[in-house]
Amino acid sequence: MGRSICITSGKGGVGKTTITAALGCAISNLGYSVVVVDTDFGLNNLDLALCAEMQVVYNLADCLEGRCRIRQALLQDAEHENLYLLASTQPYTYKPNKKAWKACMQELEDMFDFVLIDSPAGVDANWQFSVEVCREVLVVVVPQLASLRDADKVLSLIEPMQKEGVGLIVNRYRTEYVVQQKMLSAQDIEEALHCEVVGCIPEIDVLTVASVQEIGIHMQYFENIAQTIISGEKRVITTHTPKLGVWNKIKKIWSRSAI
Amino acid sequence: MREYTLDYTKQRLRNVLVYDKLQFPEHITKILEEEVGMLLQNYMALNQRPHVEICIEQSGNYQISMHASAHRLKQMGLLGRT
Repeated sequence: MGRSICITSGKGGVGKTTITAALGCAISNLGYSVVVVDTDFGLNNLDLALCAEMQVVYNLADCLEGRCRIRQALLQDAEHENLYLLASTQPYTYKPNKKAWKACMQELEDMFDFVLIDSPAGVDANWQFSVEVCREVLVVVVPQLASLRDADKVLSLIEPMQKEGVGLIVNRYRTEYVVQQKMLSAQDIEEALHCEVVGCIPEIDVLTVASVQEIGIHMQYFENIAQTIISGEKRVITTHTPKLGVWNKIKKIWSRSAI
Repeated sequence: MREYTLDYTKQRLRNVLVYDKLQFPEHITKILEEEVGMLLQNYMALNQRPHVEICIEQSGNYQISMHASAHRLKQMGLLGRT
């Protein structure tokens, strides 16, 4: 049976969708079969992150309403053989059937090694719908007070659900700012929220339209997190920004001068 | 103008998390008193319902104090080891 992990947050705009897509790619690169599921009804963007927005025919709601089988709704990623997307293109008012959702999750867990759920932000019924069925939860935060405060509230709601694992991913982490004492460190966040940091992802300047194809050399951060998730060993906290190769440095200078 | 140092940010974070935790659900102490009372009554005869108090420390941890008095232990034979 596969592992189901919900990627959630309290505050919106912290990078849940991009992280879900990138983690899906990273885990599949390690040879595991992965399905990423968008449960952010109405504000769905996981299809965009995987550049599959024009290929969606059936979606999660079609599966839950019995209009298609799960296999019909799954989209294989163009670049990752083991990565599949179950998209959601429903209006925000859509109210999923919990029983059908649980059955759907059970089937996905049987089919894949990893089921990654991209949950909506906030703590409404759809958020609960996403978190309840997963056995593990990753809460995405950015090192800002608003995000951390909301994450604390989300963690207090997750606590009674007795999940097998709960961890934090710190996004938009700037090591240079941490060194200059301008930003909260991963340890500060861990201590404040009483929750383990699974990994940190630095601010990725090249990520302009939030599609996984842009991540490029920065995929190593997601691979680190993927390895931590798979092995269950103590996390590797990123403390440096990746060094660019000569060719990438030239490209960076070129792109700046082009602007 | 205030200088936004990291220490000040950490203090603000601590304060806001502690303040948020102060919003206890209604009647939580009453519910706890009933639950603890039911548990203790399995083992001893209580004089009155236990008293529960919840305080929040500066670190954000909850400090839970309970007070109960009983006039005898119930006869239970041999208690199993846990």
